[in-house]
Amino acid sequence: MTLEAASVRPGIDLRVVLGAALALIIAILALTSLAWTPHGAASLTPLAEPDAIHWIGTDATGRDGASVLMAATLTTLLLAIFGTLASLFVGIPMGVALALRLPPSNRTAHAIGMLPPALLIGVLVSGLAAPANLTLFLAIALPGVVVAAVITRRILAPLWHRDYVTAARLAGLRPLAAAQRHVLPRLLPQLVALGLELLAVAILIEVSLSFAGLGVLPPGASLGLMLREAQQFMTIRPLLIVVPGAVAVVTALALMLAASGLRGTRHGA
Amino acid sequence: MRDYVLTRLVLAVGAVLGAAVLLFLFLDVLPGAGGADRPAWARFLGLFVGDTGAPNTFGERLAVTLPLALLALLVAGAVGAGLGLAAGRYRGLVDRLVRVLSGVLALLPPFWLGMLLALLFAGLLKLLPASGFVPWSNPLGALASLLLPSLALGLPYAGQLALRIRRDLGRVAERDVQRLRADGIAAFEASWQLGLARALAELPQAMARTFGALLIGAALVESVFFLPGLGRQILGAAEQHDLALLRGGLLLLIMVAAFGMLLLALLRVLVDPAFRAELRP
Repeated sequence: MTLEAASVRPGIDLRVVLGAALALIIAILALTSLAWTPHGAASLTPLAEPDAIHWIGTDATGRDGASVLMAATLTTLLLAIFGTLASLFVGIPMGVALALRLPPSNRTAHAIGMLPPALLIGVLVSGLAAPANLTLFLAIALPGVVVAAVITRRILAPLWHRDYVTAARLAGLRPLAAAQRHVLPRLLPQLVALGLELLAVAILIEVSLSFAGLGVLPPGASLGLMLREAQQFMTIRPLLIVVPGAVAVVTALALMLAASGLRGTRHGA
Repeated sequence: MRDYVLTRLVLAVGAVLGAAVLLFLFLDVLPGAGGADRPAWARFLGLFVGDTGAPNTFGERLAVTLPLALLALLVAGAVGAGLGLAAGRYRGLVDRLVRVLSGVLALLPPFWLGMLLALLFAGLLKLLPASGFVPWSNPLGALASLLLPSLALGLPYAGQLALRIRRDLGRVAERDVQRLRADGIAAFEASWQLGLARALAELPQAMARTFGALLIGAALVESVFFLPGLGRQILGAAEQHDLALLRGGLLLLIMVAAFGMLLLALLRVLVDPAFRAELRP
């Protein structure tokens, strides 16, 4: 299916509403951790069993699991957002330049393809003793720039070479004005979708790298680090593994769902 | 076809040489990189034969990582092709189910899936070994200890592959369908056959990319299952800033990945109908 065949639907796609709502709820819960968490940083019995007050028990250092989870989600989201914004700020202009200067191409990319290069970059940069935040930033942003440029080029090229755009330009509309009136309305939802997809994968990159010991380090808190710290107690406290991972995966899925709704296609994630 | 084969060859050689130069520049110009008693060219050439200037265990490490990646490739290929083809053949409910399932699978981090599988099969059901590796002197035991890791590693990529195959099956030119219909073939059958040819032609490159990703992604799964693989050694080298071990291990991994990807991509010569037509005299 080509992009031209994608129908512009009236109204808002249900997938966008569902995905955005879920992602927003998670983001708000994460932000709340700045002001309030159920148990703060109080030291409790390490590895206590989950009960009505401590929903997923306590971690190995005696912090309440749910409280750490909220703060960890915030760290993960912030790191992912910074990396994604950098990818978009560099990648989209590159993609625009490529689309306008070069003939259209069939090359395409998928955000999920960022994971293997991100892992390689993470190993390399952290091997050079770079700070954790820089490692994660580079691991997300470098593959992100490539993906953003390739996808932007792929989306923009057919839109820019539409007959009605050419007609508008022949009628005397300047390129920027033509772009604003005839291209941007179709391009913008696609670019937002691109950003959401990059963000989803950036979350997975943070989780993977921090789990590998290449990202956030103690005494920080991130979803990947929670998994790393809970790994050795996996069999006695499975919730400390299941819940942080599920938060990361559900957030990523929600973002992908919203993105596929915005793209207006019937493809999956 | 000649262009395709040549492009693959040049890409593989270029990737290895480029990676070697980059690794050497980044990881050898710094103090503490090790092996400084030897001249630079010897250190550079040593990279290609796994010589890090000190005894290392790359060989036996690779004997864990490579079988793990190949088993995972088998899982990804079998499950991915099965799901993708089912979605293309049975539109409607099956297609929707496959799309949702593959979309979710594709986003699961393999290492987390590995933890869940270990909790389920090794913890609750006590069926399979949860961690550690039985040496290859006991082939069945070795395979058993690689079973859960290869499932964990392969299933997310099966999801990606299924989505890809499903998309390729649908990318059929209307004109070609009309031509087959003019020959008296039913519309669905016509687009199915064309889609199948298209998906089959694209499959080798998709598998090649999957293999590269699996080989690199194996590191995290090895950490979860405490497998003594090359990936885990590289992660350890990165953590301890052992740059000689890090660049040697990384380049070895990249060389194996590039070679495997080349072989898989060249399979297209055998399966792409357009290429096979060229081979016929």
